[in-house]
Amino acid sequence: MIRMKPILIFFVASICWLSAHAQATKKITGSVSSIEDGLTLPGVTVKLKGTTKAAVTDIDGKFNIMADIGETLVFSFLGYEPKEVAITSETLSVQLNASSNNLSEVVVVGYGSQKKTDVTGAISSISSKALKEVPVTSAPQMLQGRSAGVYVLSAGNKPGSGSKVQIRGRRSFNAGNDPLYVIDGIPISGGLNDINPNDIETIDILKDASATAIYGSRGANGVIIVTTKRGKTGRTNVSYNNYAGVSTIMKYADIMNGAQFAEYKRESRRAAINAVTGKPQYDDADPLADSKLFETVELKSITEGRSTDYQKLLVRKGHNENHELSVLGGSENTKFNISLGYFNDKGIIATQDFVRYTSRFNIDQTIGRFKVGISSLGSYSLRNGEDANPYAGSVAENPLGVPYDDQGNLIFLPTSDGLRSNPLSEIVPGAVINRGKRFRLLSNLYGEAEILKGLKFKVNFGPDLIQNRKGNFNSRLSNVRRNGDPSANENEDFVFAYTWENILTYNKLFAKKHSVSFTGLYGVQTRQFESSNISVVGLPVESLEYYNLGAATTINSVGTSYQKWSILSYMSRLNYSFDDRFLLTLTGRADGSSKFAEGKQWGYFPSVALGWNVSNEGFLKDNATLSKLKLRLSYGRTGNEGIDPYQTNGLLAKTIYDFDGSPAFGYRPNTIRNTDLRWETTASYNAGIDFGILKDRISGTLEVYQSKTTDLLLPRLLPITSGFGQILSNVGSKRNRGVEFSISTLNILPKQAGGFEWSTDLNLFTNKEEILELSQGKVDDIGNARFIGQPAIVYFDYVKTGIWQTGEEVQAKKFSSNVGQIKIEDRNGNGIIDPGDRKILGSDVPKLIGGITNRFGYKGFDLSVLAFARWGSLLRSPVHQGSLTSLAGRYNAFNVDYWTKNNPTNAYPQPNVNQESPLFSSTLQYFDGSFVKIRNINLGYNISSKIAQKIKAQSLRVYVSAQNPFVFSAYTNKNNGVDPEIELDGNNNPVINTPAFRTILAGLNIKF
Amino acid sequence: MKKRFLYSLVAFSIISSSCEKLLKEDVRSQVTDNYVNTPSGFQDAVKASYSFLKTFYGGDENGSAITVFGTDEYTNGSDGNNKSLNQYTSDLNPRQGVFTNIWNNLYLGINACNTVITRAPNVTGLTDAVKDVRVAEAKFLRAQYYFLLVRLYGQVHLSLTETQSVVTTATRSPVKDVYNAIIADLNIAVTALPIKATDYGRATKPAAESLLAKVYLTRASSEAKEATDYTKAAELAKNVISAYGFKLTDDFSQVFEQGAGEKNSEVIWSVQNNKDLLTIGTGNTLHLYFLMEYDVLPGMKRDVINGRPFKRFKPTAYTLENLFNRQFDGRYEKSFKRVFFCNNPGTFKINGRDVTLKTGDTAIFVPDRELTAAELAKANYNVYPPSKQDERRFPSLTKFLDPQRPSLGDAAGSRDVLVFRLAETYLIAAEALMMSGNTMEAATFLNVVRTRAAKKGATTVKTDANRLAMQVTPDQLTIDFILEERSRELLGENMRWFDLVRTGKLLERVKKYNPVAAAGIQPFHVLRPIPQDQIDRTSSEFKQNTGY
Repeated sequence: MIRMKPILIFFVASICWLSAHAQATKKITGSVSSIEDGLTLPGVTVKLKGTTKAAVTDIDGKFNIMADIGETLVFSFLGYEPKEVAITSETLSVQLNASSNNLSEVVVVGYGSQKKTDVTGAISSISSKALKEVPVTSAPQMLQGRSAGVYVLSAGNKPGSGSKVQIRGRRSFNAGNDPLYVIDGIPISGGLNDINPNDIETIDILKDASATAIYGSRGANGVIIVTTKRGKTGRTNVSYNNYAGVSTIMKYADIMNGAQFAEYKRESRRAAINAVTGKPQYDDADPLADSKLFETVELKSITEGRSTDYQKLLVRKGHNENHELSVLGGSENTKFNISLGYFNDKGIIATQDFVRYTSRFNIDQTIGRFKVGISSLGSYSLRNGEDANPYAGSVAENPLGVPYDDQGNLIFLPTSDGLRSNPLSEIVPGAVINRGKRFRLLSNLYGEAEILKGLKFKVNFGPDLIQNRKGNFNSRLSNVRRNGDPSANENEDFVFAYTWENILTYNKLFAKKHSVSFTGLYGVQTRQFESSNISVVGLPVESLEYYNLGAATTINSVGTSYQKWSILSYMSRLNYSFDDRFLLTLTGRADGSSKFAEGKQWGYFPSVALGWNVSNEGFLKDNATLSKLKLRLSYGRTGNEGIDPYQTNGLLAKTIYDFDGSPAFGYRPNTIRNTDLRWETTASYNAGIDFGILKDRISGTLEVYQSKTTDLLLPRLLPITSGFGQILSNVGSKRNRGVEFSISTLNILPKQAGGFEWSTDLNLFTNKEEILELSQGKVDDIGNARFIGQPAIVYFDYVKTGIWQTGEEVQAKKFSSNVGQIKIEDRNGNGIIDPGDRKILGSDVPKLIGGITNRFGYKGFDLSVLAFARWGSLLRSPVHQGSLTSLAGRYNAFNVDYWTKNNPTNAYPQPNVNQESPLFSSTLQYFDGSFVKIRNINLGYNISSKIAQKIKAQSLRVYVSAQNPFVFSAYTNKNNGVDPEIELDGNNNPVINTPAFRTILAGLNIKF
Repeated sequence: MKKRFLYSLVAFSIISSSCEKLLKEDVRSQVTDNYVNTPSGFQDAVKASYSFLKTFYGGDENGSAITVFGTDEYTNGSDGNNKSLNQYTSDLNPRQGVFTNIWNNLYLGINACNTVITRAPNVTGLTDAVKDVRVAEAKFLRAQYYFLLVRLYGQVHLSLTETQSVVTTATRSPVKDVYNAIIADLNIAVTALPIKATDYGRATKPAAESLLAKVYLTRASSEAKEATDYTKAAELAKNVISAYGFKLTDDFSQVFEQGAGEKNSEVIWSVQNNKDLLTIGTGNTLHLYFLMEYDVLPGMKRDVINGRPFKRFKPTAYTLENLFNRQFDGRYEKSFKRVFFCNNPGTFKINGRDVTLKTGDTAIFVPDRELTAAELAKANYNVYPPSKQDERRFPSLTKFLDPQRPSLGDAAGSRDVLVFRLAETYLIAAEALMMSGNTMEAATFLNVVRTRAAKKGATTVKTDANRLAMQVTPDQLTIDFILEERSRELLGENMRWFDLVRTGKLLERVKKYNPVAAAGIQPFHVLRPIPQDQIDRTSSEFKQNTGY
């Protein structure tokens, strides 16, 4: 019966309409809003079905139209699914659903945008919806697990650390593998850390050469295009977003407690046999053995069962909060957007925090045929503790020592070990200061003129000013100084970079079927870098910190430097589409870089791409199952010039000497001229399929690619007998091959507004990196652990097969080893352990990477769960190397199952005080790096607009979010690892530093 | 409309035709190699040639690791990654960092010298007199660098002009050619260098003669030997002793007095270090390596005065027990630090009882013999007699200790490294004379050194008696005796391995006196391995030394 009702009404209404034609009598009023966020929609076309009568919603989303009850209104609006609504009363409230199959969806392609259906390259877009749903502290985090081919690695856990982004693997050894970031059309150097993530409207990732070739010179590593929010015509909106959260350590390192450490220290002395007397240093038969080995404080701890876990004393609860206020609006000719942001992240270690203030304004002004505008991003950040690492000291500290005396004062040296001061003294206010200040102003000013219909000329000028200032201070009571005079240093740098571009575009549709669009560009980029530093020792008063370096007794070093490079570019692009079926993109770019040798400065980067919208062909046009099918094919060349300037010159290096105390600084030959230095070039092929099934309820993309990088900018190693050990040259080549798959499904569609809905985004990708040639041709460079056919970074080491056990003395001796020591596989069988026994154990490149986001909605609630996973990489565990497994009985150690006479394990060797570390201890550090992480669970609730309106708000959303709540990996579960996303230093070595943490936060989005 | 389009095109092309100049590099904060052609650049290149001395002489561990242990006088302590050089295990191989570091540094230094020598004729604005001295300095240094190379690696690549383009080839020149090049350079140095340099620390004529004496002495027993080598070595050494007013210090310990004492009458030439942190660079780090681990013992903590114990080199039992005649020879006492005074007061369990130590009390004593139970019962400090000594606890060489470093953690010490000192010149003269059959004269030179070394008695009479007891007669002279005397006098001074190889005694004496090394050492160990990098990177064939 209920179903019958609308039909009946419609039927009756139709008759009425027929009989009383054009006699509409009632003024029907209403408002239109979006189901998604409850915001009113201005500009929606409201049409009375079957007539030509129509209205448009005003800036408040309101409309009125003359009609009768029972008639039907048709609502249509760009980006939303059209909707028919029968008039049941004089006031209507209509909600529109954002369309998923949006033919007019737009993708930013660099120097313009394109309809998604016209795109021929491999481009991933991350929608504003996906960007919004997870609160992040830095913009690159938004990319993790979201996009096939984009591998985001943590750059550490300190506040303000950011992330490293790799697109389709590594190509370069020396010229960098960071993608190019383009913000509002201006290519910038450095990542996105200065940007307030909330200011970002969309992120588009250009992956294949056809897409990136238009950034030719700098496009080889992919391009990440960030578009910030801009003003819109319509009602002015004020919105305020915030969140606040608490962070807790993910997992403490499993180090030894006092009793375990005492026994380990004893064992390390049992293993040390005196060559003269044949007695061990620790003799269990000696009743005084303990009192000889341990010092008073240690003995007391042993007797009382006392143990100090310094890491637990050091780590605190972290807090972060974020506030953002923005005003967005505009009239027909002027559009603006202003936003202010504040982000404060207090890390889980006391001296580490990060505060960022951001401001942004965008203005677009139309003056007849002309348009001018500016977008400007300002940021100022303060960061403490970037280079400080008290955590590493806390895990290595002797647990038998005590941190405080009876009066509760810190003991600076808890034991007599002169190298170890109390890790807690590092976080005493003022003891170790490591303070960075950064200011950045990134702007884009543009002017645009429509010369003829379809022909536009645009000038962009994008200055980027960055100032960094970093001060360090180490007081007497710091581990660096250990009672020595205080030291301090100060570093400043200043960057002035600008991009200046002149762009000509022409669009025309010929004979209704031939759509042509042409873009031409001439541009200049230049970057100038100046820095200065000074380092002193012997400050008379500790409160001077680094603010009065002149007062110091000694200057250690003083330096300044200057660097400048420029790129000139010409680019043209032609897009041609025939009948929305066949697509062609041709681009050509020429770049000249000052970094290369004369005559080799210009690089040429062409590309071609073809697309076929199969679903627009007659035979598929009305296919019920296959709603979208597009095939794409591309080839292109891109370049990389990410090296320091001045490498083509023969440079001298300063030397230090003195004659009887008088300085004798000199200059020696350092680099040899390379008159042939040129671009590193990547040529790549890409094939892709975009598909949509069942009105795009299931849609996805499959990409396959192969890229070959040649002329790798790599130091060519020379025999040092010539006086030069290397020359930066173009040598060798590398290949990357990969498959990327992403799919979005609308698993359950809501039956009505507010009904249960479930959708899933999944991406899976794999990239195989292979070195094809190195500086000596197809010859492995064993010294640098680079092998033909292998990825850039592989772990090349001995293979541990166990521990030499009692009874194997003779065999152990043969291999110059001893019982209790690591047993190594004699792979080449020559009876000794030599470098020939090493093998490639694995690589840091995962075999498969994936991300999955599940979204659920029900009655105003939304829940999203993002999981990120990788399989098949090998990691070097920071807690299984260095002092934590050196087993020398001095520093505290990872709580490992070490060998003793009574514990014949094959896991870890016997501790021995007479070793810096066990022989072949590097073999202990390799683990499978596979993991699945639940990156984020976010639960939100859209408070109904009725309640929101009580506080004059258009919309109001509250949410809670858990970040990194769960980690599943053999490394953490079986091998006691801490976090499989390990932190690496500049030389790709794992480091123990601020540990990983979980965050729980709650937030509010309100819009007026 | 068309006009508007044309104007735009013209404007566009004007904009794009400028800016090419932006592609010219503008090197501001760095110096290009044209600078060497200027007078000041030339002088700076000479100064740069000196800086490479530091790597072998105290700037890091390498120079000591390759000469001090793995010999009869020193074995390894507990720490460090170079123990294979003492133990002669399979880790002593072409990939060992020490060999590569020294090789690389010396060839960088040689190219710096070559740059000076090659560019000199084109430099205008300096008098020929100045240029000749500077070129002679570069040749002196080049000879020094090649002399280290030929002794360590045997046949080495010989390059005598500046490298100005990419070179991927290298060849191993016969040892004879290398010696000839060294001697040719030094002959010029001896002629052109002044007796006293304008700047203390620059090469001088006596320094060149000292080096040349040692070159002849070494060549005399090498495959490239010539009949007159010993005679020439003796003549040069005698000339250095007599012609320039050098004089042994009165007391052996004065030779290594820190500060102004480093510039004493015995020093012929030294590698320079000072306290200015802007010019100290790596400084002299030798203070780190010979020190025992005192800082973890009761009553002690690490401080600047006592030093940073890296415990790399431990004297062999032979050195401690047999080398010195402790009754007459004062050098045992003066060479080793065996007492540490409490700097970390408190009550500690020592020798099985509670002992309260005040600042300044004896906290550690390393006796030269076993103590009796009665002696032990009285000792209110930690005692390390020979039976308790190990890789961490042993008598520590005093020669390089540096209590004047600015702070605890500073590795860069300010002491000069004495490369040529008169006592060694006497020993060179003695060895050369003895090897050429003149044991009589040899003994007189040896006795000068031994007289100075005699223990000071309570009275002059007793001192004289000690001096007399130290005298040797010509018939006592053997190459072993000379080697022992060198060890007593020059213990730890970055030359023992060379001495043993030169005299053909490396295997014999290591097997006899260094039990840790005895099992591993083999005949081929008289040469060091050519670094694997050199072999891998050379496009022509570059052969490895046999055995590696």
